[in-house]
Amino acid sequence: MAEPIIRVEGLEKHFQIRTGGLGRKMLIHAVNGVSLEIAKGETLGIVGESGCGKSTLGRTILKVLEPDAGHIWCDGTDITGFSRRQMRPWRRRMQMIFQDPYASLNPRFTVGELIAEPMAIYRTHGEAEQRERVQELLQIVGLKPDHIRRYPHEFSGGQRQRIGIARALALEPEFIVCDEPISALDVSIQAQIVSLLERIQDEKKLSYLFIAHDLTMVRHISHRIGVMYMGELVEIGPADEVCEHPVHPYTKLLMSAVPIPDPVQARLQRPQLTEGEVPSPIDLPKGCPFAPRCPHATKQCRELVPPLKDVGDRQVACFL
Amino acid sequence: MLKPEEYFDPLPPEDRDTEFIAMESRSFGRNVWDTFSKNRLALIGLICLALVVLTALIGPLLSPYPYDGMDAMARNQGSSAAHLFGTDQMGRDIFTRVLYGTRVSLMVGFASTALNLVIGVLYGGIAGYVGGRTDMIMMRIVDVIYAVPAMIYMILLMLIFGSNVYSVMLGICVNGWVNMARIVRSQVMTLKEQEFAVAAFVIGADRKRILFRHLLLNCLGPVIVTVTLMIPQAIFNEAFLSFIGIGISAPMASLGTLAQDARMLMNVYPMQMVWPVLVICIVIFSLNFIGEGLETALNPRGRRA
Amino acid sequence: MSERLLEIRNLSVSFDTAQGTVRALRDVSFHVNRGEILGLVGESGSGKSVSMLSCLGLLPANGRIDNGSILFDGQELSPVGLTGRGALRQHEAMLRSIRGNRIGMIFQDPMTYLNPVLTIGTQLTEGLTAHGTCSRQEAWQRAVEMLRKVGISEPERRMKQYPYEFSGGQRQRMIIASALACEPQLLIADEPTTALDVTVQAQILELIRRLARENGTAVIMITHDLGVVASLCDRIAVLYGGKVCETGTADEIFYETKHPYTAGLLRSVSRRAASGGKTARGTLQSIPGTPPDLLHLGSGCPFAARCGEAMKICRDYYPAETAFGGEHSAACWLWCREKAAELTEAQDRERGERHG
Repeated sequence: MAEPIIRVEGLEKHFQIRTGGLGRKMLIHAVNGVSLEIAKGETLGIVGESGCGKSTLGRTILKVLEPDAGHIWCDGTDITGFSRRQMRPWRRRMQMIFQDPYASLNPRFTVGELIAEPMAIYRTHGEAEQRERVQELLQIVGLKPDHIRRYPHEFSGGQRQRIGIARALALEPEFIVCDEPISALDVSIQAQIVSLLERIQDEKKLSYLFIAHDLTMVRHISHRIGVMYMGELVEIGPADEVCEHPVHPYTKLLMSAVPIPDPVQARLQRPQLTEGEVPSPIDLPKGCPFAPRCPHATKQCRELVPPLKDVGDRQVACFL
Repeated sequence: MLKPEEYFDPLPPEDRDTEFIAMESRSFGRNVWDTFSKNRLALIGLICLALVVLTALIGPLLSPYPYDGMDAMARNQGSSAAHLFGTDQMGRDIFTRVLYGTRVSLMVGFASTALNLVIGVLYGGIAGYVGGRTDMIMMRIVDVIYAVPAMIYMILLMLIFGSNVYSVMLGICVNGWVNMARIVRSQVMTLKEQEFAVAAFVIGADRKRILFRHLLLNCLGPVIVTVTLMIPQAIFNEAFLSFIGIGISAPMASLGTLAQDARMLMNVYPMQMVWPVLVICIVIFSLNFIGEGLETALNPRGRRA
Repeated sequence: MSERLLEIRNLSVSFDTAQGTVRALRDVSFHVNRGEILGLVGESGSGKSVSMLSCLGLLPANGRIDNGSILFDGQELSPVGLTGRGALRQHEAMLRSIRGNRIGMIFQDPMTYLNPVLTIGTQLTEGLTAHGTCSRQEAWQRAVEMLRKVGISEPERRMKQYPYEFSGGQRQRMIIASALACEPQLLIADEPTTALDVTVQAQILELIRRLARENGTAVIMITHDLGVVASLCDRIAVLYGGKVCETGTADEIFYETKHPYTAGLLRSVSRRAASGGKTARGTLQSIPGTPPDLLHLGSGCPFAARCGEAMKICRDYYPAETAFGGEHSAACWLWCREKAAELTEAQDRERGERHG
């Protein structure tokens, strides 16, 4: 098998918080021992509710946040301990697209300056070439070359997101973390961005880590989907399999809660409702993190954390 | 005009341009100026300040008298054609002295603010960006500097370096930058959490680039507003120092020393006091109006609506 | 007593901004029947929230109602045609007596509508006592009762807590509790679940459905999520660029789609994704382009530039609303070609009058 572009093993990221000025320190396990692989040209979708650590996972893989434990391999090289300087050649191979198209573009830069910045940093292109490349990138994402002199605030949300994509593509990366790139957009624009990302992937053979809480769209772009709950991967497998026949009780709950855009179907399939919400990650319950909300929880679930086991062509962390 | 037989032809692609942006492209500066120029008070302030600065610069050309030229025959005169603002007790032309005084005061104001700006922005920017322990130590140093009253530094500096323009400027700068540093620091702290700062990191920008090109550039608004409030503060401080007699020494004049000189004869010749004070008022009011105008113009909420 | 609880007719709303006049709503008409759930669907900037704010007299200072009527239970809520300070003040007083009392509201972000320094109890009873309908003790009792109804455990104890002690979903439940405390005839829910997780969203939608049915409250559900309206709403109105492009029952909208925008919207959420078929990658169809800039609207259909079936007439003239039996109607030239001559002439005349 070919070397995966990204391989992660036992990744952990904690945040320390203090309650009050002199309160005792507490650890939040944002990412708690996640292992995964992303093959070249593949999209791995990561879904989960807010606070499940999916964004932290994306940022830790890109080493925007330093991992507290575990290892990250990029194309076979262990980059976990790399310093800022050592990371430099790797950075251009791994890029990121952000959630908020309003906050992720520096408002004082023109679109041209924004897209050219990565090229200026790596000095990959001469001035004239840079201009040409920016216009080419604008074309790829469906914007017009004369937009180059405009400022981000003059664009709509979807257009800004496309500027963000053009910028991420500037250095021809091999791997892009898409951190909820469609959550802040309108429905018709969401589909547009997803289609654009798919098209780019087909042309450039990129790999994506696509983070989202919107399951319908994730399913469209992903080859495989991983479901996260409280910092842990509870189920990971081929996209259709995970969506159609979820195994883990949490995945089932998540899938049934997605509103179906079809009145007849919606009347037939009432969502499965559970009591309660995602618990605070500060006082993690012992055992399986989902046990308190799980309809099938046994005594064993409350005592031990279930490991990720192979079930057919996917992996599930559940004793059932 | 569309002909009825064409009504149901397919819409040609050139009419399908949804990426077209009708709004004209405007830079940040243009936007700020548009809002600013609608504020009448701020605009008047800007014009007044420009006039004062201009007169102070070309001042010497406007007046036939040297600033320290005494004329024993013409002491304490009122306004006349020869002496626009009259003369003081030593027979010096007050108009000329006010011109020179304004020059000195403005220089003190602008130069010390420039120094404060550089120190404050760098210090605050670094503290805010690096954060953690470095920030803690840097800000505690700031607290210590701020804890001692400004007057004490100024008087101490005067004792060491003598009473001249430079020690006044230095005195104002000893803790003048503290405010700026605090403002920049808190701005940078919030900005560095924003996604565009993370985006800059991800594309491989180094620390220097992120701090200067991304973070500090976005602090521009509050920094400019602070600057417009710092200049009158500095001018006022200088005037105050001179007024209590430890500022700029004769025969050099600043607006403060002119007021001080006139004070002794205030009961007899009140007009000698009025002129320098009037200029101080104009300068400070103008700068405050400009500052206020800029504040609304730079406020992003004001701009979007 | 009429069947229609709220009827909006020919409503036009605009906002004055530094860049010019934004025409947020143009000649919009729709209605809600008693006890029914209406879905108001559209993208940001389509005017869906603005229409509801105008009903309640809550438009920001730079917004104004240019034209149209808003009839709520036979009462006129639109200030159009009112002159004189006395009449306007009376109108404002009338709106105040309706807001929160006969029309309840739920907003997107519950935290902005809860005062962080007051206890939940204080805030919930405030609305009840403000309209002078009951005493303090009664109000407290009613509030406890409402909290229990929306599924918050130990309501007596939680009445004394502050908003930050509750999770996002619980806060939204509380807002629902307070909106329903006065037993309004109409509940306006402006994207109540956008800020929430899907599992919590399912709980909240179920709650709204149940309470509306129990109390016979009519609901206007503002959302951009077609999944939400499919499972919840009886009727749907689709807005685009400040115009209503299609209205009808949920089934009509989903299965007998007439307007190309609605069709595009449905395609871009892909029914197959949720209903069980295989979803190959790359099958997702999207509407190209960007929503119109409300500052620079042309005279034609606002969707023309993004529409796959657009004709030359769409660019210059606005189509008439065509009824398809029952309450299903759509505004698109595809369905009213035969009226073209008549409509273009009328629109030309109108424009001529406006320009000189």
